[in-house]
Amino acid sequence: MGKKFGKLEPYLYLTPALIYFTIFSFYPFIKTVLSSFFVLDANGVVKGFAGLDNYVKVLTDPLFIQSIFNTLLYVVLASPVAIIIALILALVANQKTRTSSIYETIFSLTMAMSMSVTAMIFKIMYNPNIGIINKLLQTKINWLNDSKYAMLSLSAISVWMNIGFNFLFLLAAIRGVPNELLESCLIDGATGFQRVRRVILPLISPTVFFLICNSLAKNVIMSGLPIILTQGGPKGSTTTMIYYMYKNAFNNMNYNYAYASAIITFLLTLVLMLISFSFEKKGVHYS
Amino acid sequence: MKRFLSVLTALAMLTVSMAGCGGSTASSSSSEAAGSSSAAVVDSGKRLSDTDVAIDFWHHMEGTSAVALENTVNNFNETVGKEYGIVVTPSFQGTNTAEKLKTLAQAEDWGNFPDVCQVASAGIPVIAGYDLLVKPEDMYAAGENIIVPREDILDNAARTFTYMDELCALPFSNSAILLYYNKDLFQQAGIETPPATIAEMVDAINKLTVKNGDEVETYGLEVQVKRYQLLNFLGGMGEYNFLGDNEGGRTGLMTKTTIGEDGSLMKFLDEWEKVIATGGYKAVEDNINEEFAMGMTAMAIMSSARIAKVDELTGGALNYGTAALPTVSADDKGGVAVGGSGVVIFNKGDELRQTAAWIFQQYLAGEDAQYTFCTGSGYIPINRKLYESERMQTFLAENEPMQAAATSMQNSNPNVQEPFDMVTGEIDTIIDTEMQNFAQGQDKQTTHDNIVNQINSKLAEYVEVNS
Repeated sequence: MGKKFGKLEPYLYLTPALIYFTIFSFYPFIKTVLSSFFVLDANGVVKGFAGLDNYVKVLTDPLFIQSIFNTLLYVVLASPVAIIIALILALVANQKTRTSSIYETIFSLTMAMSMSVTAMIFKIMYNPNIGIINKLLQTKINWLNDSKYAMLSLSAISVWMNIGFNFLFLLAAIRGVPNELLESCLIDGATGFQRVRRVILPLISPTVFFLICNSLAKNVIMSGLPIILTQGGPKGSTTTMIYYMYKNAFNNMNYNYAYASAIITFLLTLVLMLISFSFEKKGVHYS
Repeated sequence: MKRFLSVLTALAMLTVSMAGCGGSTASSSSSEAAGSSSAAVVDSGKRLSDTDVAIDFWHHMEGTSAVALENTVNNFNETVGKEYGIVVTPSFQGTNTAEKLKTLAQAEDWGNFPDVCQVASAGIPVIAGYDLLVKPEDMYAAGENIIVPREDILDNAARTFTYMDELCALPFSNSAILLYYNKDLFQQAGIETPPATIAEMVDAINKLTVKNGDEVETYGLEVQVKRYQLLNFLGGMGEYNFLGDNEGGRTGLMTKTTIGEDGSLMKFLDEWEKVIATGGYKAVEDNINEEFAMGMTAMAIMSSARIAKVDELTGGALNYGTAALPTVSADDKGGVAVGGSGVVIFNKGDELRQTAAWIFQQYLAGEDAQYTFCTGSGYIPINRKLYESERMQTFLAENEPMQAAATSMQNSNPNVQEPFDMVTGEIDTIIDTEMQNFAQGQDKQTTHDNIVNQINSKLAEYVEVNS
């Protein structure tokens, strides 16, 4: 009895998570993959086999091609900047003082803001006539309604929202760097920049790697900001891949395009994650 | 002991997870319990049952409209509800209730459908396909438990929710597109009355626009022409204009748009080109409510549902008025389409609940509910008798912007409606993009052809898999 239980015990612990994953991740994923090869009507009823037709139609839709570039642009604009700014803030906040808790709270506060509230605040700030951004910059830019600036504007919101989350992780990682190592660097005459580059960054690389992976996955599937602020416009410039999927599934009841675009987005995310993991072998130090 | 604790912990986790999976069953049980818990209060011959009949009402109202709705439902529970022994529980279900119903329908989870649901008119063709839908058309034909006669509902509001010649929902929260104008700026520019046609609007824009060098300080007009705006301009042309085949999708699936072949789109673009040429037209809405409220635009074209918002922003301090949407030609008589939502009911196999839902559905379209809700939210009443009552006439006399909205809707031809075009989101994007391009210099013919061809292409895609 004891031996049998010993073998079963780990599976027993895994069971609750497995049930959730099966119901909410694995089953919908497999269903989406299978459905993407069929023609479905507006009620989701299968009308016939489509083969690769859905994929061909989606991949020849100029808006979807545009959405791939938009998504990549968003990832490039949002992911690194949010990590770099958070890293700078974490380095600045590294030294524990009596007021540490105040600015640590301020820096991490952005993660407590809901996306919809943040989006509405930025909408007013971005207004070309009454917004504070144009007033401060002395410009007349139509941030959300000019296709040249719209994606940049959305990524700026994303950067602001993600700084808090990244900051907390990086601060914890930097404070975990042994003091004796930093002191020996000082004795050896290393500059501040050299200490960051040669000692701190390698030691916090697992955390940075986690943040990069997290940020990539989150930003590739971003759809909230276009839904709230731009509805994919102007001229499709903020249509991301998931927004394209959302619009087809829920606005147009075109599940054929929606399923195919969801799978293509999954594959793209997978490729980006694999590229990130190749970086792990070269640049991440676990010891 | 340690092993025993491990087993206990694992079993506890498993139990919790299983309980989580069974959540929906528990909630439906509690809902049933709640339904039978209310004791009968008023002894009346009208009671449906010895115990109160509890029904669910899904809605999508927010802010001040949600408060007005809650008040309306409370009034029902305290008056007609008590008389018939009905208790209604409203619940906010996000801004797109039709989407929630569709999700349930696809999962064939008919048991979780509400008894009563507020839906936007665009969702009617899909909802009409659900076996559970109880159409007011059939209920009126049966003639039982009529508390609001069909004749009391304005014809155009009823037609908004009519599909395949059958009334599928009763109108509830309705609106009309309007021209908002700043009276002070009009006075300064020497304009006495709001423009009635686009040509008159062009003159007004020229007079109202204030420039500082090349920079516009006050725009004459702000409106972003999307599907909603365009269909209203085109729908009212002549006597009326269906915009698509099969009466704009009301007598069958809309397979193509007719705005190209009947020349209505080109006629509109001819006029709109003059609006763009004024240089005082703001073609992109950034924060249209705020910009109009701050006097940065002298005229704006918006739904009447924004009246409450403008009043809230200005605290009633802005001297503004509303008028009917300017027509494309002076001889256009159609008016505008009724926008907004109606209420549908479902039969989930319980006759008592269906009857209760039917009574509540009618109540919402009745005089009292329409008065409470519309005066509290800014929506336009759809009950004919209410307009004849002294309380409504007093309210409209004291609320000039609402007066224009109500008149505009009452004067519109019932055939002027939003088409059931099924790919609404796509059509909205197409029109928005092309009209933006037009405002930025794209030629008229290209704009016309792109709008027509792209809409037809999207409709064809839909028809291919849904006909």
